[in-house]
Amino acid sequence: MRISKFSQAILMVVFAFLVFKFAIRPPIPSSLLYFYMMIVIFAIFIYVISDTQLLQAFISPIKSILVEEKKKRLRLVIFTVLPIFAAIFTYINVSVSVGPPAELRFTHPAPPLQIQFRENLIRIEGLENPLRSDVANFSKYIEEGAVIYFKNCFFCHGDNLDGNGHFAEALNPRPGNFTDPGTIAQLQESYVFWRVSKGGRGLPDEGTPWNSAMPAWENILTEEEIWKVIIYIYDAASVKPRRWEELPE
Amino acid sequence: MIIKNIYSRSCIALSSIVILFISFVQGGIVCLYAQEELTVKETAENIEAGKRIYMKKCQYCHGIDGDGEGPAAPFLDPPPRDLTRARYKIISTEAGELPTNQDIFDVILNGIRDTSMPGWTSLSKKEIWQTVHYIKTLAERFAWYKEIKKVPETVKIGKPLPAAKDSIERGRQIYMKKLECWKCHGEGGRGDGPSASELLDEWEYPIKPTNLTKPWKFRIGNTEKHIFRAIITGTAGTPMPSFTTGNTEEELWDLTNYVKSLGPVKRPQRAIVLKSEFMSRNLPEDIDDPIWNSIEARGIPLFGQILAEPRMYTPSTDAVYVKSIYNNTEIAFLVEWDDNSQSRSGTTKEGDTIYEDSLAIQFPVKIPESPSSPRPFFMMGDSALPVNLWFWKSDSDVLKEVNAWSINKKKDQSEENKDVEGRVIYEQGKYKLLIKRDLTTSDKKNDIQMEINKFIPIAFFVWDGHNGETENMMAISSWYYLFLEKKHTGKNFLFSIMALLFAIIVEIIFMKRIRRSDWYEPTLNKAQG
Repeated sequence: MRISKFSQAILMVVFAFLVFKFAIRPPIPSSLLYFYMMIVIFAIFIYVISDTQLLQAFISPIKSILVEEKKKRLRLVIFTVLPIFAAIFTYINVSVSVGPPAELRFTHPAPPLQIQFRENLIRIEGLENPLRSDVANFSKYIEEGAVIYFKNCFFCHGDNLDGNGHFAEALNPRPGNFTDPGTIAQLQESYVFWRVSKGGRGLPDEGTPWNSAMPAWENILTEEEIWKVIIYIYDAASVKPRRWEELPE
Repeated sequence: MIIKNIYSRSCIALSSIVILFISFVQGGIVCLYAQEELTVKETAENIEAGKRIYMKKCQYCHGIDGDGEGPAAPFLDPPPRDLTRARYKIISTEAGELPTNQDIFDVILNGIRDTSMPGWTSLSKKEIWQTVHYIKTLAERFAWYKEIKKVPETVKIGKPLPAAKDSIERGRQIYMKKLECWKCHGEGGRGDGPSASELLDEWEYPIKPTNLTKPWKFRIGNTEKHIFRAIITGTAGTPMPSFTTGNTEEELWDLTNYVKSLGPVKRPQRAIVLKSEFMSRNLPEDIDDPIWNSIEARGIPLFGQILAEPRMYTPSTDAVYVKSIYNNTEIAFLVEWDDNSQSRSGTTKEGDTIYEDSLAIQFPVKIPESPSSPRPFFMMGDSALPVNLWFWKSDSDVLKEVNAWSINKKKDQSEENKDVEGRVIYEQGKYKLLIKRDLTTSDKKNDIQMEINKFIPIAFFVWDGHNGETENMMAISSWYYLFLEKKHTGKNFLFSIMALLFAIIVEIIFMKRIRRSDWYEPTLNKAQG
């Protein structure tokens, strides 16, 4: 028996879905699955509309159901099932409405121009890590920074600096992942200094300071210790801090 | 199917590109896994390279000499492994034997759950093998085994018995009577047996028996074979002995099935939103009321309070499980958490101080307008936005209401203002706390006023008095949401009927247009004829 173009297209979509869903291991995430399925459907669609004859052949089964007298019964069934399906779909979707609300949160809000660090006023704008220029002692600073990191930070930010420390599972928002190009790699060291010193509570309102569990380390670490640990996290995550843009003279 | 024309071909080509692309990505991952130990031999260079990795990644916990005394060690429970003794827990050989190379490799790659040992996915397979070779040089026993050409044998594990009811029951008899596992692991399996508090490991650190009701935390793994292996080999360096002698293999599989049956079928789901369900009846007075069985518990994970001094790095409670219901006037919570020691303030035989056990539920005093409006700081509020805490403490076993403006600024409400009531039971290593209050109270200035259909921030604090937890030292949670689910108003039905009508209208319009279009002509004539 010849399979009509319409059934061919349906079979193709089903086949692609089965391959994506069950033949690929480990399973691909559902968002990716939808994306692949969209590409497949789009490809078939382009194929179908590319030729008038083909389009006619494709449409004919739909057409026959819609207009032919002898298919009246099938037509009635389809036209009854569709609204019922719509009703059930709506019912299910309306009843599970208690999803978590969207929390709009700026991960990296603009830093203040200056901060009060214990007794000192520190200007954040244009500030560089004072230890970075001391090349002779650089590896010593990394070593000391590491010890500070493993006494204070790795419970949340993790040994791999990926934000997967042993407390991370319980935190919401999750601790920063320093290996992600969207975190310390795109920030100046002075920004990191501000965030470490003032913690979650030092964030402006758009950073939802009431949620972040990042302590204000100015109460626990000295200025130099914070600079050391900053040197360590950049080194261990193998990324470079963003530089201040040179102003034209 | 014969490929007839160019269009069919282009269609197939397009699909194959998509499929090829996917298989390429997948293939890349498979290739990575195929790297074998054989490619990285135990040579001097590789050991040297392993040492460099160890000094960069491992020494901060396991120590420069591998003695488990790195700078992070004092803050970790369980403590980091002392690698100089070659005593490993997660091995495929007999307990106390040396692990295979693959065993060490697997632990470094996958980490150990419920500990601070992460999976070292940031290292390549080659680097991990190099580290394995280096770690083996830290303990002399490996070299000695090499000298006498001894290769530790892997333990053979047979086929599990089906977990039938009678097998589980036989396993229970063994657990309770024959092997007396309950003396450490507790009657309910929550590690609360009478000997639990006295257990020490080989390094003389106190050690807790595994809580058998949380299989997702089993360090040795949680399949039948993993559990069986732990029973027949015991765990090196801990008080868990080997149980091979005097028991048949069948008995041990029965025991395995029983241990497996102690955990829940499904791990309670962690959810950002804790739904409170509406009941038209009176809320239960009893913790054992069957109504609670119909409500699904939500897991709220906890972490150590490390924001303010003194800090708690190793809290013993990792989660609370919460159910909530409400009616027209009241709201009730059933909070459950595991604690292997019921404690009240006092001292142990050794003279260590014990504190009371305690739990607090936290709400903001004022519900924020929207989820993005300012909220009190999650750790007991701030000066601008105070919180309302419902406290239970084991010493007095009464509930209290407290207001807080920060972790160090709390104030008890007066007795006449008290609106919460409830009761607690402690059974087989588990606390169950029933706590009730009217939806609204007269003290609008200091009490949370519950509202339906609003996202109400909620957080939890737990103190385990036996673990030195008191004042600022406790397990805490972030903010979650409590949501008093709207009463059944028939809204769903209304929307469904609207969808139904809408679909029918679309169909009618659609058919009318079809009938007018040129599609219809030929058949229309026939029909009329």
